[in-house]
Amino acid sequence: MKKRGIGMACLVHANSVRYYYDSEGSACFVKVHDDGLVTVMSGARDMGQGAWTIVAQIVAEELGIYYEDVKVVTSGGTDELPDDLGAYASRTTFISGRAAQAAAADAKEKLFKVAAKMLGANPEDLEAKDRKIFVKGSPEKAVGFAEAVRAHLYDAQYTGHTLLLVGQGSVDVEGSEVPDRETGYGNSFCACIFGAHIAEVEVDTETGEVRIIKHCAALDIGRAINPMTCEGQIEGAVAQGLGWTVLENMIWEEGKTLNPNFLDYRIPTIFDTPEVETVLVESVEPKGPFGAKGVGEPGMVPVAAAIGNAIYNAIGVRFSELPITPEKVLKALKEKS
Amino acid sequence: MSDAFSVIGKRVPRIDGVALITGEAKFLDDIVLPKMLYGKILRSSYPHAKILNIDTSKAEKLPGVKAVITAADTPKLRYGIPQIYDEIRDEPVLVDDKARFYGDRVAAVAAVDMDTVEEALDLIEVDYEVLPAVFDPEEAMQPGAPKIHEVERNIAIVKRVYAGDVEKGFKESDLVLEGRYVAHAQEHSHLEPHGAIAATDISGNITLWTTTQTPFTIRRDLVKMLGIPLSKINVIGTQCGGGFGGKNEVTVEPHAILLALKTGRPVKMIYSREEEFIASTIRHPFIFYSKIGVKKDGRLMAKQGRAILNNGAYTGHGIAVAYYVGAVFATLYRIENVKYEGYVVYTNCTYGGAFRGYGNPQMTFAIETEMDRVAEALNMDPLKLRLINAPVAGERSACGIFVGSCGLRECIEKAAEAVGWGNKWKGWEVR
Repeated sequence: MKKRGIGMACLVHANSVRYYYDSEGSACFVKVHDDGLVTVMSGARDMGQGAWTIVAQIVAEELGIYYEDVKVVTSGGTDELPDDLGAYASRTTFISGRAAQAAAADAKEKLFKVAAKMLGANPEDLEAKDRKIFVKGSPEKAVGFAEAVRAHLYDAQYTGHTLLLVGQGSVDVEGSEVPDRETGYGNSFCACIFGAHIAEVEVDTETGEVRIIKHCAALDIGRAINPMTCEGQIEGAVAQGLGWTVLENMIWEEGKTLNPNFLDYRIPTIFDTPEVETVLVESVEPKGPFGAKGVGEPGMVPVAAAIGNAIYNAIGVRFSELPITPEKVLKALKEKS
Repeated sequence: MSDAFSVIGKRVPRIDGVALITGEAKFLDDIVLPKMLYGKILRSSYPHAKILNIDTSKAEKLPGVKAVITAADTPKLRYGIPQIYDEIRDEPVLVDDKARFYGDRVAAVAAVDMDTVEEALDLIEVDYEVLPAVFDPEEAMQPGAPKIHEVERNIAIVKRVYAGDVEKGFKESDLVLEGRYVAHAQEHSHLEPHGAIAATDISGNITLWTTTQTPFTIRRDLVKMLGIPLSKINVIGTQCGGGFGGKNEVTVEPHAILLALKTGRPVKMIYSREEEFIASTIRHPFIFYSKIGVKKDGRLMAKQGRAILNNGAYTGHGIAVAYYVGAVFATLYRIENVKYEGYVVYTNCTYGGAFRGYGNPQMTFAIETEMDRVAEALNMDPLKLRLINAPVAGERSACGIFVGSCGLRECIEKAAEAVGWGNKWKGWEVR
């Protein structure tokens, strides 16, 4: 017989934890070219999660140019790239993203000084959008972004032939601290991300197989810089979480892994992965770039508990040991009856 | 998504999307340098064994072999990952005294091709004295258990997080539930394995291409391992085919550098899938003891947790994982009285590292199953129990974490709405 059940679990996770280093910071350079395009040199590392895309979106938004106008250096080294602690602790969008925003803001500030002279306005009255710099409230008083850049780079009356328009940004997270070694007390999280998952499962009481029918993941991501990459991260995390819960099983004998390959250690394929419904809740984090928080890890966190609770709802058996394999399910059902 | 923004909140295609799907993107294994050699690590065939002697002479004589290194070729340095917690430095680049897990690093070879490398590894003769081993962390904590490092009862460190008075909280509770949970290991399974290419130049500069997630922190780690000045090493992160925390770890980077320095030629080293399983880090297996006290109305009064981390042979991220689990344990719900201790325990297993969630999935499996049991005991909708205890923005958790923004309530309500919880949840009696 196939029995269905529903279960839920919640989570909190940190965006970067001040624990390892005396800094939790990131840095970024933005170089502006005379055609109005920009190159971003970010220490942010893209490992498939889409970090470079997020950095480009942030820089484009801050400078008031198009996403297509931004190029991210993807092959740099520690010799020339600005420092960044790297892609871990769900920190890249949150901290590297803020560094990118700060670098773009720095370039914009320099550019606004030139644009203000060109427009006969005050720099603080200017705004940048759609490749234009204009006076707030008077969009007809405008200069093209690229035109202002060329004036900055080449026209001595504005800057004295600098040939250089570079913005730099370096941020650490204010208010975070290394926790007390004894009590563990201290504001070590640079931001908190919360969420709730609901799993719906079907348990085959004859084979013991647990199939996840549907999984809903609602995550408080602060703000979605790119909803598509947020969904990608969450869907992937749910798949990795369900793999850990019901499929993946490292078999050790006297410390030796007996199944060191993907044939005998099964990670989820598309056939094992259910429909994942993601709900993006935007709580707007004051410390995040445009209010965003990092979303790399949290989607993984409550998956096992949500599935376990759904299994209990389906068959009335609780599992306190992972993974929940068909053998364990059958054994538990037998003991129960 | 706000309309006030032009680019933020938009589903723009990924900047590297086309390069990735057309195969134009170049990964580490696509890089071939002139005169490049290939390298691999010889691994221990025992989980715990003294190294009495290593004879590399036959391997060195094999045509095509350009270098063999053992611990004698490495600086006598031990490294550990967290910079602030520098007291635990237990990991060698190559083992000098004994192997502590099946797959521990004994020697490394560089040769003109992989076939020669494999043949050379077979020709290295290692005399082992097999030692008793222990694989279960609770057994490893018993007096008289095999000693893996020079610490008492194999406990590398205990990290505590506590606040308030749990005993008082339990006394004031109407219901107290206890449980024991076991969460198992997981391999990161990133499709691209760990790899690195090291090249040196006449001025002694080192260029290191690596699959790492953390070029700058790996550079700091390499300084600690090899004693080479920071600015001498240029770490270039290549297009990365997945990491999930696994590529926070240093794997072949120091060996590739040492072999490149010894041969004067670039050396490429890439883990096989088997090495990923036996020698790269894994999600720490946990045993988690939980105790929760609540009032009849569902308010949490006290929470106590004890995590026993199967650290494996070396500590790596173990210290930080043990602390972090306590901090999230104290922060998920509004609670005043918390007591948590995380034991980081050496065993002769493959060692744990950073892995998506950093211990949080293991703990959350335990505590959120317990919350479900609490809801059942109170005959309460599990959603309601969570809503009663959900924190809000502006609060500080029991262990001092400031909650700057918090959409937990909205997450619970919206997830319930999305799945139609109201129709599907039939109460605790019905199933």
